[in-house]
Amino acid sequence: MKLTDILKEIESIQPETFENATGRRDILKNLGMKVAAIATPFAAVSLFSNKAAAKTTDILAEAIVFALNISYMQSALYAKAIAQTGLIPAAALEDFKKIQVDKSQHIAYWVYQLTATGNAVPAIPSYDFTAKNALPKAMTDYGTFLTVAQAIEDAGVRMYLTAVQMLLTNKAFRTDAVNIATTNARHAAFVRMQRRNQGIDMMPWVVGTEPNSLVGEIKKAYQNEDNTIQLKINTVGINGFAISFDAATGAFDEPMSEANAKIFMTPFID
Amino acid sequence: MNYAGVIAGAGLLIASCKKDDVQPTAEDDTINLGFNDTGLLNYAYLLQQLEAAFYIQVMKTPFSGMTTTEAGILSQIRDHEIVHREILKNYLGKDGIPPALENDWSSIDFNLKSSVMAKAKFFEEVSVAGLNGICRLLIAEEHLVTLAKMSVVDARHSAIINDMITPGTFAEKADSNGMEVSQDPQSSIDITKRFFKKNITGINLPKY
Repeated sequence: MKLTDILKEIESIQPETFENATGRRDILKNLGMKVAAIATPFAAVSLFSNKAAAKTTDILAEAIVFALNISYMQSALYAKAIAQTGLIPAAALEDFKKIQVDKSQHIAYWVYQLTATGNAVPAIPSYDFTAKNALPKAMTDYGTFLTVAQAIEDAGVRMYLTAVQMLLTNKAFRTDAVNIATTNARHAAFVRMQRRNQGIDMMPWVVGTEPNSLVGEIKKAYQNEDNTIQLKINTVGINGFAISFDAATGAFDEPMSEANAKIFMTPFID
Repeated sequence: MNYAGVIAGAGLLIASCKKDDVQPTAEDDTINLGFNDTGLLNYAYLLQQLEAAFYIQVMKTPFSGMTTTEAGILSQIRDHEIVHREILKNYLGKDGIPPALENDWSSIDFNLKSSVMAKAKFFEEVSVAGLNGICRLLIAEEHLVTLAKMSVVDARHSAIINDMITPGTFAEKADSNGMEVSQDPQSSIDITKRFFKKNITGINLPKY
């Protein structure tokens, strides 16, 4: 059964409750959603491997857990970086504190919604932002930290776009996810401009798959970001305008599949 | 499927609409965005027309003292907005509102950096809030995803424009949940239509 069919099926069960904010809690409850089976992200048996079993009725809770996992990672990244004396220059410290507050609010919001609906809240994993020593200076050198932060921010925007899709049937939740996605995009733009200030050729948006600026594991944040087909229409040179590949790919961020999200996040989890 | 209609001088509604729907009140020359997803996409198209036309003008008559960096950023933003506009134009086809609706720039001094940047900030914020509001109401998954993908890039624009004006304001719009504050189409259109010469109505659009 296709995901969209499942969503339609769920919608047909409770059409009205999907429409309002009160209903978004009830719907999770009424469908008997239990995320216990998928509530221990990335620990041995991960969030993703139980997906098939969880799919039929747990789709909304699964989407929230998926969104929560990248927010967990983002919040932890900045909490660690802020606590690391001398890593973030004084001039940027308040900005990163502001970003960290936003991330922790994203977490608080989803935790509240899961708890209110009687669903299990996943445990916060332990993180290793050196990606198993692939980036040994991630927490000691500002430039390396920014490289990691950029990838985790851009990937986070993409994962929230996926969460928007997964939350299609619930107008309130999907709007929450869009509203978090755009806040995350603002954070991503800021991080990228910090890198630009370090002399790296970098724009606030993602150009192609960023081939020149990233290495190794974190390049996986950008798979499929070079898409130039939107609504089945080619965007390069559209309607005779001088639209380059860079502009065409920069104009849209692309959702990141659950499978690719797992591949990207796994190296950063202990 | 319903279509956007242009109300011509004689008050004729070109294209179909449901019989029991309230007709727009304007008599002449009013652009009606239409119904359902098509109407919502037309509103997105209107927002992108506004942004594209603005940045095209900004780069055609650069403000005094525009730096290379500023020109680089503003011209790429222009190109993104052109892509957004043209994609929606092509996708909507005959259901789309007219292209290149004439703008009212009377509130902007294109020679003055502060005037241009203040309007860039305003337009990006209106666009992100408006697109996110549209996302709440769309039915088709393809439409929802496409506009969300567009909105996050406008949010990137908004962040950099904000920081070019006042450093540290890149995410000032986030509310107490760390979320963008989306805006429903009805109130959003009231803001947007001031920058077009023709009257525009979203009276038939889905509502929150």
